[in-house]
Amino acid sequence: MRRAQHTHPHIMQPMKSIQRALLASSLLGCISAQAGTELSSGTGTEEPAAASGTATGLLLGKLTGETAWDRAWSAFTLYKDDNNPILQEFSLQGRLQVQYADGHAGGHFDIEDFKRGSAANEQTVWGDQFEARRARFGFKSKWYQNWKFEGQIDVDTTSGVDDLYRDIYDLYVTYAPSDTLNVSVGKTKVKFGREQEISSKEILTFERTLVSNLLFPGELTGAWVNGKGIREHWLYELGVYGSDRVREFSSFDQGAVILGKIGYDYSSQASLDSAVASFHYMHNSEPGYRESNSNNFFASGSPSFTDSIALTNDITHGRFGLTTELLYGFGFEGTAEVAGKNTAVNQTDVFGLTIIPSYFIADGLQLVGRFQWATSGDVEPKNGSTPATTNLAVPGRYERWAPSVIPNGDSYTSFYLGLNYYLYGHKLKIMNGIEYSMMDGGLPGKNQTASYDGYTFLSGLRFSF
Amino acid sequence: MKAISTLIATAALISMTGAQTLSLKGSDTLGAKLVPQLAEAFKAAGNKGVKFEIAAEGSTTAFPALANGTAQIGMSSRKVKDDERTFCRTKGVYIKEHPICHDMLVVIVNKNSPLANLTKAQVAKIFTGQIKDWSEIGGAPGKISIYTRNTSSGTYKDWQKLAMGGRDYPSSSLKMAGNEQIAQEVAKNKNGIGYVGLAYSKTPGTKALTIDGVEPVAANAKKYAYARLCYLYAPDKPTAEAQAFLDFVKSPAGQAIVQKVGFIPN
Repeated sequence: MRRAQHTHPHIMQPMKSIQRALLASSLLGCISAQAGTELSSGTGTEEPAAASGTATGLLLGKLTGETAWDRAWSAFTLYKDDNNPILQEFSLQGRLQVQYADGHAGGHFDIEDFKRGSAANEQTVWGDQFEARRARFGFKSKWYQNWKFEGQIDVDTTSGVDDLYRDIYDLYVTYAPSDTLNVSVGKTKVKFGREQEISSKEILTFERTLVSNLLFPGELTGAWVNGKGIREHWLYELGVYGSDRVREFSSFDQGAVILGKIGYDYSSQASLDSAVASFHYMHNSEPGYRESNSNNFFASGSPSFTDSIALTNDITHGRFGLTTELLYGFGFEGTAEVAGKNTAVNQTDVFGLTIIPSYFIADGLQLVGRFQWATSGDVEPKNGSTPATTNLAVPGRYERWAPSVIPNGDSYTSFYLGLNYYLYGHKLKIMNGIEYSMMDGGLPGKNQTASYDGYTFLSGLRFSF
Repeated sequence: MKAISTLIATAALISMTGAQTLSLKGSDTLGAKLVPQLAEAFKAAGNKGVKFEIAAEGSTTAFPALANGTAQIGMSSRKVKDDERTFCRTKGVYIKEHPICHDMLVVIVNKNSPLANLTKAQVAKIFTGQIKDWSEIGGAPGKISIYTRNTSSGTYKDWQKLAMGGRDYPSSSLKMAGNEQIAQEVAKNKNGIGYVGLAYSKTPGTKALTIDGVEPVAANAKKYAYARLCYLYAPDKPTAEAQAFLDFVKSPAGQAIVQKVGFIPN
């Protein structure tokens, strides 16, 4: 006990300093906010001191919320005070998705097969049976009412505490004077298509669809502007990014990805809780480019598509939800720099249709379905100097690791049925699902068949703050 | 003695279970004055058994309260956000929106001001302190005196968002406790300008300005720059008391109170 009494003040000292600093800045904010003349006589009245009384956050020892769950999650907010004119909020953010998979397609496969598949896969698997599919940690903050500064790193959960950093997932500054105008600069995930727009904290399935992932350009560095509520219904986004997917920030010498979107919110006309239809267009001036892999970072290439378009519709009403998406990618044929070498690319066009209905069958229990159908140009073998076509790849999670699987095909169909149980909104949920999928039209190699036909069962937990 | 105390306790219990409590949480714009008056009128209209609990701590508090079941009705001066609705859904609460009124903030100046109209850009520049003298926008020379609500008022921040692009008020702005005080100060000060609720826009000694040519009258609620729709939110299957109260608010009697308090009936 005596030791505890001695050590406690030392441990608390840095914490107290931080608290004092925040309290001081909060009070400064107060003074600044009230610098305007207060009329204490006549018709005016003195207003109450706002900031010091309204500040909350873990560092001030003030957790908020009505329930124990609310208060527990409010601990990730370190400081919050809307009345402080300088710093309104500083919070931690992050996510962890851990999942188990087991499948059958001409033989059994599971996470262990996935782990053996590549060094990148090995980096995410705990033991042999569980994958830490998404692990990110960072912060978000709000300054001077209209400025936001936030970022996250991808966390390596398998290499010990000395080597947690894998790469910068996002880090950007946003100026947001109103809903209609948000201007941002930095590194971010490029949100092409509706599935990519929905955060992986909130997607209803474990993985996004095949074509959505195929067209996804990654987390890129650039500048973008977006807004909603224009003439009540319209929303837009326009962004320009360096096309190289790198550990930190783009060097802006490998071409550009340009993204444009326009959408219309028709929820009031349709009397639905939410209803948005949108059109997305993306151009890539350096399709197929890929950085070299380096320790602990495995670069994905820029998609081998010069242009991509998406038509999406997303509605929710009461217990029901429905996301529908049409995607088309214009394949690139030519030479791309891949890990420092010029490499011939022969990507065919691809088309994808996705339908994701959902329905809450009980409090916190949601049934999710998904149908996806994708098709591409014919699979062609290498012909002289012309390389073999790249078409639709069998998904890396996790069908690709089935025995004797073909790597590519030209027609993919899948049906997913899942059950999500929400313990605390999207912040803590248990997910289960089974997917039956088929790939046809492949060129079989030795010991391979020309088609894939199998099912995958997935079970997982998603936690975020 | 024991028998008497038991009888009293039983009677108290019966009377307690007989009183139905209706809890409303959310917007201070709605919860400060309008909803309490609607509640009183609702009780006076034959619903004496309903006890109201009204917590006006900001629109943001409405939706967690609905999700957690600690409120039967949420009050909001803005539309529910997607993540708020989603959180409610994941807790088994499928909320329904009930637009009940418009809240209009009117720009007023002293009645002797030669100005009759301002553009939105001019309003933003005046309230952020970029335009400091009336002569800069065609008025009689004189340093502009800005009257605002005080910082603890929700309207203080709402005006920042609606009219000032989220920017800060100048340090010289004069912060007042309420609409009435703002109107009275503007009436006394020939260089004054302020914003008030529609009910206070005809205060003697003041003049309401048109904004981009749109007159601040109830009929223009949908096109006037500084008007917003206000809502009550309730689960899709509300309690009988909540449903009765929602029906009352939307009835002619309820909408008459909306108008009396200074909001625009929907």
